[in-house]
Amino acid sequence: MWNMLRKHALRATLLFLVSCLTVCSPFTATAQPPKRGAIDVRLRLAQSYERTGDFEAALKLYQELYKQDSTNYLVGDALRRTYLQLKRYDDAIALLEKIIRFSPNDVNMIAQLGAMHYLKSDEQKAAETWERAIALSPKQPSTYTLVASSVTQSRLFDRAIAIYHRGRAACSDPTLFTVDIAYLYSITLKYPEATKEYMSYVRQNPAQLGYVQSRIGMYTGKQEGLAAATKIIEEGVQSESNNLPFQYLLAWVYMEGKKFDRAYDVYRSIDENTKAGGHEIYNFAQRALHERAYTVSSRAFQDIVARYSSFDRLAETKFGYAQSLEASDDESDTLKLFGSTNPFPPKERTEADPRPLYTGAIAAYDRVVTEFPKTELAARALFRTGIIKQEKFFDLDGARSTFEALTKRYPMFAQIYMEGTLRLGDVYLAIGALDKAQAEYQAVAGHGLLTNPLQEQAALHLAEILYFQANFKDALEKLKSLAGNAISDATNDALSLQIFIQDNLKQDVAVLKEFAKGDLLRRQRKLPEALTIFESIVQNYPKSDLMDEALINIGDLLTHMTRYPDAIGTYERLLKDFPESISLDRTLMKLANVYERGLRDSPKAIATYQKLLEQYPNSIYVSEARKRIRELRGDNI
Amino acid sequence: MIADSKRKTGDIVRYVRDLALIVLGSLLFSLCSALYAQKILIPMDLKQADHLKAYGIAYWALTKNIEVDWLLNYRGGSFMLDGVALLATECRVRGVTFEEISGAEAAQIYSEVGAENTNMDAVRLEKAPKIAVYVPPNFLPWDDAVTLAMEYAEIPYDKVWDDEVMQDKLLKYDWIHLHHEDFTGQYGKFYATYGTAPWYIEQQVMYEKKAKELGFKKVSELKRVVAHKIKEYIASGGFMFAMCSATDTYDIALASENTDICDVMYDGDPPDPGAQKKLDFSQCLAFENFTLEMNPLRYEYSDIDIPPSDMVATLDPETDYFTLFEFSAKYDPVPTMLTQNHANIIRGFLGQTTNFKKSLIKKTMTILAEKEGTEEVRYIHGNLGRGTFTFYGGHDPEDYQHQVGDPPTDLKLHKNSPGYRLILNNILFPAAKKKQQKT
Repeated sequence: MWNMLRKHALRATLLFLVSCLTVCSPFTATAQPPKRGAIDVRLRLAQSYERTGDFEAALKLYQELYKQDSTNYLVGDALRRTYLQLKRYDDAIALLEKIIRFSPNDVNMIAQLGAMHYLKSDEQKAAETWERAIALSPKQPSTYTLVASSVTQSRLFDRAIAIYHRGRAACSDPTLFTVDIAYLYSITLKYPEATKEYMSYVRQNPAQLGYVQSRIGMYTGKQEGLAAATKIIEEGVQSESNNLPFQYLLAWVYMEGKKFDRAYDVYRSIDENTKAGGHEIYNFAQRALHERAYTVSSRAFQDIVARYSSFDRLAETKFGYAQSLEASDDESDTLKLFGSTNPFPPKERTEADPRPLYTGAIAAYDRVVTEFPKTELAARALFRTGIIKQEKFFDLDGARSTFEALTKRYPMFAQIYMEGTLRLGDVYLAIGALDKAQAEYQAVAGHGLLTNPLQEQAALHLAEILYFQANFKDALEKLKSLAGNAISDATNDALSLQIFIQDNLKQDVAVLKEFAKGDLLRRQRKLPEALTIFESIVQNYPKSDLMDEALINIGDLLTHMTRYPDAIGTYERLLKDFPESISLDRTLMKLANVYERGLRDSPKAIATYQKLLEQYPNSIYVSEARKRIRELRGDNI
Repeated sequence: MIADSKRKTGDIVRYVRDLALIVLGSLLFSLCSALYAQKILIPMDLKQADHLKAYGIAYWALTKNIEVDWLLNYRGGSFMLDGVALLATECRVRGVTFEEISGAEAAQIYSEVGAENTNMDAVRLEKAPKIAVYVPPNFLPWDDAVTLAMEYAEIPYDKVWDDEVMQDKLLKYDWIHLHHEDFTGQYGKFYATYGTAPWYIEQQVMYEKKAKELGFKKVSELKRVVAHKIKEYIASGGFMFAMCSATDTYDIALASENTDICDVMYDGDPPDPGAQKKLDFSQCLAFENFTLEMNPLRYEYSDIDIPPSDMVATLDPETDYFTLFEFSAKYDPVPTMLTQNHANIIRGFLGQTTNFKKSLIKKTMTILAEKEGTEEVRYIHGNLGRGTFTFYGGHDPEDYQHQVGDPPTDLKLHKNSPGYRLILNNILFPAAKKKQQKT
């Protein structure tokens, strides 16, 4: 409403101004041609009407102005535009034909006439008119640009492509209009044709490789686009094997499709052809490592080492190789239901690679340490080796010597030194050298405020040692300060141990001491010894509150020892005999895991997970149990 | 002869006696069954752990021929089902809270729900509705709140597009959802912002190609015919649900039958300067007397949307809430079903079309939710012929200002979303057995 009122008000004002102008110049009206100034004012007035959307008023003025001066291009074009706005296509066509009569060789105007016929839904006339425009200068590339542009405006993309192709043939230049044609093919979803054109453009302008990648990248996000681009580029490389930009394009499109193996073959060839001395392979290897394509990244790093002995980033290359090997062997247990180590068998080696897990990674890290002993990478390599020995091989002596070497040789790299010291403490603890462990932890924790996660972790370990030593009072004191820090990662573990000690201190301290002993043995991975302790607790203290925890530990130890039926029996005993235990949901979860991953008995695993859902609907494990059931059922979720 | 007659009489007496005993036995058995048989109650009040999956369970039960009673206004619109073990297991696996109750307890609930002095009722859901979503082929489920909700609730659906609509295949479905489509043929009026984005260009070309394939010169012409086909589908007994811009653009497309409202960048020629005057509001389902937004670069279709899309900054997410109306469960079961919720006041959320201006809504429509004290109506329902339709403003009930390219909402984090519940009410509603209204 407001718009309409405003429009009327503006119109009235403008008409008044024009009237004033007319009244003020009574003698110029008819006898003489209008003065330039008067035309300008009327033109501006018409343009104002047009801008406000009052096309009828604008048209009236434009028509008058055109009548007075039909050679004025500005007026003629404005009149055509206004006819178009008012959908008066016949008038627009008549006007254009009149203009064309004055300049019969104006390709642009004839092309526009064609578009106008098309708007009028007279496709045949439109086609004839566009042909007429082409016929004017059939050897001029600009003719085809103008006509195809007019056709494109009419959104007749296929016809525009055909016109460009005709132009190429007529001008005997197959490189003409490449980008235009490629773009039209891409928006009409003809990805193979678009890719062919873009490849042709790269052939003409190798420096435009990045631009072409970005254009092709507009459709490689879709499966059909990616497949089409890959196929065409492969064919291109096959027919022009020496075309380097094509090879880059192929490697890039393989990476887009996560076909790292194939991409690597191409990068190797590029590296050779460009005499890059391994840099192309290195960049590829880093990206593949980042993308978790470990097999191919390790191959690439290894190839650099084999081919380019004087490569300037050899340390990073060898470290990258070791990282790739370690990561490909790695298997994680995210729930950590059975502690920090996964009790179930790791993935099996293939026949092609029968090496025991992680041996390749350790050897690769060793080479970094030996060959680049002064670098931080050597320190990191030692650190990773120590972790593998400690966590994967349970080779505590090996881990100790590795971490000792790290802390002795690399105090200058503060972060890795601290991490190594903490780990060394863990290893000392595991081999029973509690004093040494304490010293290492203390070195990390310091004596002041705990300001970083490593210090907090060290402080937690110090409290654990006190617990293992049956010094419960001091352990509680230490845990108290840790448990108060709500934002620390160590808080949960600290709280859990604090509550455990507090609850059981009220009972029989002797049992707690035994339990702590068993816990230490378990930490040290002395599984049979730990099992004996926990079994003795079960036997000797049947009334103890720690019975359920002891049974869980027995079940866990048996699981680690792959004595699955015994583990199941223990967990089931706990479920049956200790219905008041707060660990029943955890026990059911463990039981289900043993069925699923140990015995690979899906029906029993499902039934156990369902039991968990049924009996403990508020357990923290329900979400995982649901997920596991649905995966085992094969639900499509 | 007499002996024969006596024997026959004796036989009849024995027969009647036996029959009476059988009937009595059956009655007693039924009574006992009713009293002692287990039922499963899926509460939909604040006790429910996952409201959205609860709808999926109701749907799943219907697919297994388990009858579902929707207890309108009872504990947030709870569901009562037969206590089959399979159902309890499935509830547990999907994380849906349920209560196992005895037949006697169930009878008590039914009695409470059916009592004249309560605003409650039980509606029997009989058949899992066959669902279609009108979406373009390049659709991704996370583009759209309804498909997100169905995916999360595990309610199956088919995808249909212009071909299927033109071939009258909609009739195979009980319910259709319009993905946030622009039925005006202006491609969401995204031109100013995304006119050069590859996805926009591709979409336009794809739509144009489809229009040509189906014999239309312009996309707007095809969409208008599609809108009419959907209207026919509703009139013949279908259920249509639309959100966001599919609501107002649908009516605008119907109203603009005799004119061209699209500018040159949308359909290759300028709009009809007299388009506004040529609108035929009698064709619209829900709106009338609206004014078109003819500026092709403005991200708005008409004045139906309030506040306009480019003025949403005036809204404060902290205070943007809308209120559900309460209807009589026994006398107005349909709007009651559509407004079942555990919350009456629901957090607002924006969309290309966020709210509908009250003064432009046809008087025949039922307003289900609005922002109290304003012109802003959020949720409306209407009838057409033998079918019904519902319009719900906004884009994503749990993402206040969802933008193109934003990551999808993870409904695992919004299991109890009252805004999403309104969507799922609509999906179950066609399953309801039609019963005589108490008028």
